[in-house]
Amino acid sequence: MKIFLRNLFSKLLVISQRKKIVEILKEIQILRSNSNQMTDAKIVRLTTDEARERIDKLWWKLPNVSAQDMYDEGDSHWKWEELTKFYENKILHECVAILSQEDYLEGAMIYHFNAKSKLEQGKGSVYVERVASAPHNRNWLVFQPFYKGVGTVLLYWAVIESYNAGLRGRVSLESLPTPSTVNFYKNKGFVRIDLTQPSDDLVDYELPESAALTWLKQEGDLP
Amino acid sequence: MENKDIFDGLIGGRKLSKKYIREDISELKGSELQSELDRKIARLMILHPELVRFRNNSLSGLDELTKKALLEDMYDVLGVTPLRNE
Repeated sequence: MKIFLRNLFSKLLVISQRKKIVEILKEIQILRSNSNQMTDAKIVRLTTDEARERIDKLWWKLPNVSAQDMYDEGDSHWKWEELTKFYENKILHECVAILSQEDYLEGAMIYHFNAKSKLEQGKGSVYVERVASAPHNRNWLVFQPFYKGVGTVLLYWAVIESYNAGLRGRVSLESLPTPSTVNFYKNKGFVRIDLTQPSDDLVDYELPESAALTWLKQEGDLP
Repeated sequence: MENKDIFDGLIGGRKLSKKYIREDISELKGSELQSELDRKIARLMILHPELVRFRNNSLSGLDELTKKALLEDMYDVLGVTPLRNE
C-alpha cells in the first residue's frame, strides 16, 4: 500500500511539474476526426523534456503500423528532443506543438525568424524547418485519425508569428511536391520559387505577403 | 474527397541554407526575458534594428504598461494591426 501511494504521489508530482513547464502561446480549436467537431486545444512552446517524453517516446508506438510504413513516412527517425535542445531559449527560433484536451501533442513545428524572403529581395520571412502532425493523425497510417488538419493549424500559426514579427505573414519552406501538398500550397497561395528544382527532392515554396494577409482575413484574425 | 484546406503530413527536415539567413541580425546575448511580452518586443528589436534603440536594448527597467505601450508603438510603425484575440 505504501509503495502504491508513493508511486501514485510521484506520478502526480511529475504530472504537476509537467503542467507547470508547459508555456501556452495561444488557445485554439482543432477538428476532432470522429465527430467532425471543433474542440479546444493549445499551441504550446515545445521544451526538450516534452519533446522527449511526448513525441520521441510516444508518437511511433502505433499498433498495426509496420516498420516499413514508419520508415516510408520520412520523419520516424527525427529526434525532436535534440532538435528542440538546439533552439531552446533563442528568440529567433521557435519550437511549438499542439496540445490537445487528451493531453497529447498532436503535431509539432520548428521555425526561424532570421530568414530572407526568397521572393522579395531585402525582406524577411519566417522559415519553417519542420512540421509534422502526430502519426496517429495521419489517415494513411491509421484507420481513424484523432484530429484532422493539425498541419494546417501549425502552418497558420507560422503565418501569425510572421505577421506579428513585422514580416507581413511571409512564410517559406521546403517540401516534397506530392499531389496533395501541391494542392494545399496552391490553395493557400504558396508560390513555388524555382520551377527548375527537381520534383523528386525538396523544393522551395513561399507564402507571399498578399496570400498571407488573405489567409489572416479568411480566418477572421484581420479585419 | 480531398479537402484542400487540410494538411496532415510533414514538411522539411532541411536546415535553412546559409545564403538565406539574414546576416544583419543575431540573437540577443545576456538578456533575461521575463515574459512573452518581453520576447515579442525583443524579437521586434532584433528583426527591425532601425525601429528603436535604447541603452543596451534592455527591457529590465521598464514596467508592464510601458512595455505594452512600446509594443503598440512598434506595431504602429511597422503597420502591424493587432490580430483578433491577441
